[in-house]
Amino acid sequence: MTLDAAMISTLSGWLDATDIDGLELSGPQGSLRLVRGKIASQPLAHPQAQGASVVTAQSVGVFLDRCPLASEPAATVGDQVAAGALIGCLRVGPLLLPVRAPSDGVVAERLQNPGQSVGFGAPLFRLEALLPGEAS
Amino acid sequence: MIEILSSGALATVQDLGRHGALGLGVGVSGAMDGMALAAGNILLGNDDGAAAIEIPVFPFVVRFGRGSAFAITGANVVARLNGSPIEAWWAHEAVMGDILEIGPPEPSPWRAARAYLSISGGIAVEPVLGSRSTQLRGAFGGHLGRQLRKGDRLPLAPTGGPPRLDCGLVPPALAMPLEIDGLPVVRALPAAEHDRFAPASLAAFWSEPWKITSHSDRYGYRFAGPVLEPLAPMELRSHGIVPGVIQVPHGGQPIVQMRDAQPSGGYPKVATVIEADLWRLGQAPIGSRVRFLKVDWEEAVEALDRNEAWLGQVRRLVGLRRLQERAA
Repeated sequence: MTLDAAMISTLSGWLDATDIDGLELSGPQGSLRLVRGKIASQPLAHPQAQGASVVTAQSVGVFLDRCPLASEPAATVGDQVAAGALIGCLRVGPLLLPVRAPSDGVVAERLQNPGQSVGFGAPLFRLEALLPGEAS
Repeated sequence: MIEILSSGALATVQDLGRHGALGLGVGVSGAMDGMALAAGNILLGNDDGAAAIEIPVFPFVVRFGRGSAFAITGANVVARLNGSPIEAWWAHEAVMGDILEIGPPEPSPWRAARAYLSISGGIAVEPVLGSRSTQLRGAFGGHLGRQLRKGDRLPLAPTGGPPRLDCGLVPPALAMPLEIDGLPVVRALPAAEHDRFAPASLAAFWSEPWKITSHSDRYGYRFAGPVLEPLAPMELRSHGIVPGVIQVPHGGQPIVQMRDAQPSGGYPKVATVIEADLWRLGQAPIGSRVRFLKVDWEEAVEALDRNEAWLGQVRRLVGLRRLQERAA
């Protein structure tokens, strides 16, 4: 996808029609960040720069520790999780974006309270690698 | 193709309904929870009204005959794909041969009875009178005009829709809650014979909890509560009715006509559940209690606008997400 002026205008229009505060797009040609109410131009932090053991927010949103209908958290401290497992959600209006474990590990710490609004790149969980012999 | 592996009891193919055929004596049918059906379709990039499977009895098990994105909306069911738990109200991906088991609803902040299995591209049964909904009374539409059975194979659209997006939705019941004294509320308009019921009966109708009896299904919900007495006996000729109409037969216990209602009836009508709240009632489980809240025409139209606005916001955000994924 190429980001031309028309596309940016379309995206801005959609953003304006929602209650979300910002939107990031990145592709081979570069990155775009749209923020409600201001003009912003800054390089985007690369998510991997945060370190492999910290799971960061890949979007702005409200952090949730479970899907809204679930009675139990998706993952609690001490849980062993497989790569790709859903461990939380980011709510953007009615939309839920996944927070997934980037690798096999144990949930060592939850770094945000459920219901907390977070920005792009905010740390959400700390995962520890499995010790040898722990894998089940 | 998807194949039904469980008994399939009472499960049917439904879309948003067969509108415009009441004059031919053909009822509307369609999903009891049209919001869940539309939301599942939007998650998958389908048209809002693509046909899905409505599932009121669990477990319900299918095998995917080809790879496909799918979503389960409606009740907060426990679902497993090849044995691994997956979330309801979320878009997932199956490959050919995968087995999806949809178990009964779990306790959740929203008590709901029916789940919807939407598939990328939709269930591709032949439309009849402009709809793929199962018309049980007439035995046409949907899959062979009947409830699904073990061994049924349902055709899928040949190419399916866009690639799966890894995202889910907050169900509209949580985004637009409606309760009084902890009971689910459905809003209703007074109907033609409303004022011909005794004032005490009307007061009870609009203020007491009403229990959904076991004589409730897609045709209609029979309620139990205070006896509603007319001021004088009423004998009416049969007239056209629509889903939502609340009839009061002899005996004084109301019946709400639901999606498979016949298009005419002759019982006195005390009220009509507004179109915007039919999905709320369509999800209320047998044995649960609801309250009826009196609204006026403007409020009824506004409620419909709010449903549309919610779906519109979901469509925009899912569309944005799709652009983001494409750009990444």
